[in-house]
Amino acid sequence: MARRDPDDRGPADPGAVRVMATRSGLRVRLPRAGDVERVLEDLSRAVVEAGGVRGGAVTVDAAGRALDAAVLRRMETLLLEHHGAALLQVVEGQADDGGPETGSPGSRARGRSRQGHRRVRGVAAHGEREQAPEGPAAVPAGAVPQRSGASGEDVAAAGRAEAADVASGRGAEGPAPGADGAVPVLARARPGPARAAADGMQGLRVDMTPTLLVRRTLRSGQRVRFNGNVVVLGDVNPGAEIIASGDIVVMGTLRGVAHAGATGSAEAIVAAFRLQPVQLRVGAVIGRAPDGHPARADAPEVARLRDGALVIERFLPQGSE
Amino acid sequence: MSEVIVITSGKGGVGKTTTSANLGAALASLGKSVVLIDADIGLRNLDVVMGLENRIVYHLVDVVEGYCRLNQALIKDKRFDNLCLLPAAQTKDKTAVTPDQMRQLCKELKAEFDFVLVDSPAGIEQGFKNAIAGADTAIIVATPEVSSVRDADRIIGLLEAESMPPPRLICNRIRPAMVRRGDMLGISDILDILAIELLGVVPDDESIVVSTNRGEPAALSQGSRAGVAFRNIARRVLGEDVPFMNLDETNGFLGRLKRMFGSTR
Ligand SMILES: Nc1ncnc2c1ncn2[C@@H]1O[C@H](COP(=O)(O)OP(=O)(O)OP(=O)(O)O)[C@@H](O)[C@H]1O
Ligand SMILES: [Mg+2]
Repeated sequence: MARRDPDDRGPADPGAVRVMATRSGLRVRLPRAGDVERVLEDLSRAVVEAGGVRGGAVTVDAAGRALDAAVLRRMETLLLEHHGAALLQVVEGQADDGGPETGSPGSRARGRSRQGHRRVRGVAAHGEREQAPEGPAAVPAGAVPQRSGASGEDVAAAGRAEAADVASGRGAEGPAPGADGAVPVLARARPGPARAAADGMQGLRVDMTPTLLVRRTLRSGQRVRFNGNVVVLGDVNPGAEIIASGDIVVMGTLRGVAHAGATGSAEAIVAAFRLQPVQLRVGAVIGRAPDGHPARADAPEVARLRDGALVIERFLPQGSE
Repeated sequence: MSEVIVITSGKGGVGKTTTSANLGAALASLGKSVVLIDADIGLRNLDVVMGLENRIVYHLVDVVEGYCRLNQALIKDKRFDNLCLLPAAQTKDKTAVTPDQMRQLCKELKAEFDFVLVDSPAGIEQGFKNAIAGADTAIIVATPEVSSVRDADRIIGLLEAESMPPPRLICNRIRPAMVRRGDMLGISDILDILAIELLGVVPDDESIVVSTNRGEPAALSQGSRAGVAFRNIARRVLGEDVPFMNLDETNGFLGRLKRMFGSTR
């Protein structure tokens, strides 16, 4: 293993990858120059040296470098497969940004205020689309949403066994005490405010939110957090976790923990080919599997909020309703 | 061609050392030259299971620190000339060795033996990282318990991150009667989650305890059901297509398992 002394490259070294811990995970600044292979290698090492990606999400500051789709995809794969982290966004910082290495409150505030004139690209779009940053820049780390009047322990039961009862407004165990007034009411109609129908496509529900495509099974201990939708082409095993500000779709069996609408959206859904999670969260509402032997899913299902309660329903393609 | 195989599990006490000893003995009995590395530094076990404790002079840490030559530390098995053990140090800990040193060691042994089997310690920390460092492939040992399967899944993810090829699975301590009653995970439940190739199913068997205490791997005694399972595993490692043992005479579901598995993956 060729070890380089980190002290060899001071803050002024233009060839160094620099890492800063932020609230939403790690922020990595690429060097302006240097071979792509070495940059990717250094990126991986810098993440390890920083003690991994705590927030599960990495923001890459391209610092004026041109990153083509192939490089972006490799970076995304590297972060996901070697560090269990999602590449949250690529931003263009100022090339002479000489901020401190650690995220002191001051530097964080400064970084945020600067985002106003930074161009933010949705990762899944691979740079083809540019959009102004809106809403929270990232899924907050440690994101159990705040609920007024209800503690995190007030879990609304939403097991499959009781799903029919819950759908009619009464779970077998009833809604958790304190949860009643606190949970947002779900509007059935879509699209919501974040879902704009494209011009000339009236009637079509088109979701333009960035979407992270995870082309693998997420195993125990692996976690994906993403500011947008997450689609998994594989299973989500017990001990794995997905947190998304938008919807979560699993094209396999979901046995781990999924949190859709993590920034507070009550309209988010969790859909899976086989939905057998230990725990589900949508917006500010938490549901857990019933104790004992859970019934096995035998068809694709969707979990969503109905009248503030998490319910699991058979998946019906839109339009067939 | 030679192969370095690490035997690992995440969870402790599921049968890594038992598997290493029995697979090693079975491969040796089939004529292959085998070296077993006990990578569980500080919790040395493999020498006892092999009945070789009284022959230890040097150990793995002595080798990497240059106190002795590799050949001086290799202990020849009582039963097979073509089977050797490189014991762990009992007085050091996992940090006494680095992954680079393990890689180098495995490389040297690979040049001399057909199989290098590395008995990994439990956990996912330094000892695990050392154990997998020089390995070409991995065998995961899991028992039919939810916690063991969860840990195995974590290990598979970590091996993927190291760009190792997909590991193969040994389900150890299966009790068909309990599976039938629904009190224990079945093989298909385990494969459902882990989705890796099944290398073998070893029954829960008293003869393992007896042979472990005697320092005689069960794979070498004819009467042991677990021994048969380990001999079958050895033949599968050599590339033979050995049907799965029918542990449960009443419905033979393990017999069907392989076909089922082969058709879905
Ligand atoms: N198939 C089996 N039937 C009965 N007992 C078994 C079987 N396999 C293992 N055991 C027993 O389980 C215990 C633990 O086995 P072993 O030492 O091989 O596990 P290990 O995974 O190496 O543990 P550690 O993580 O501590 O290294 C031993 O007492 C062993 O005899
Ligand atoms: Mg052991």
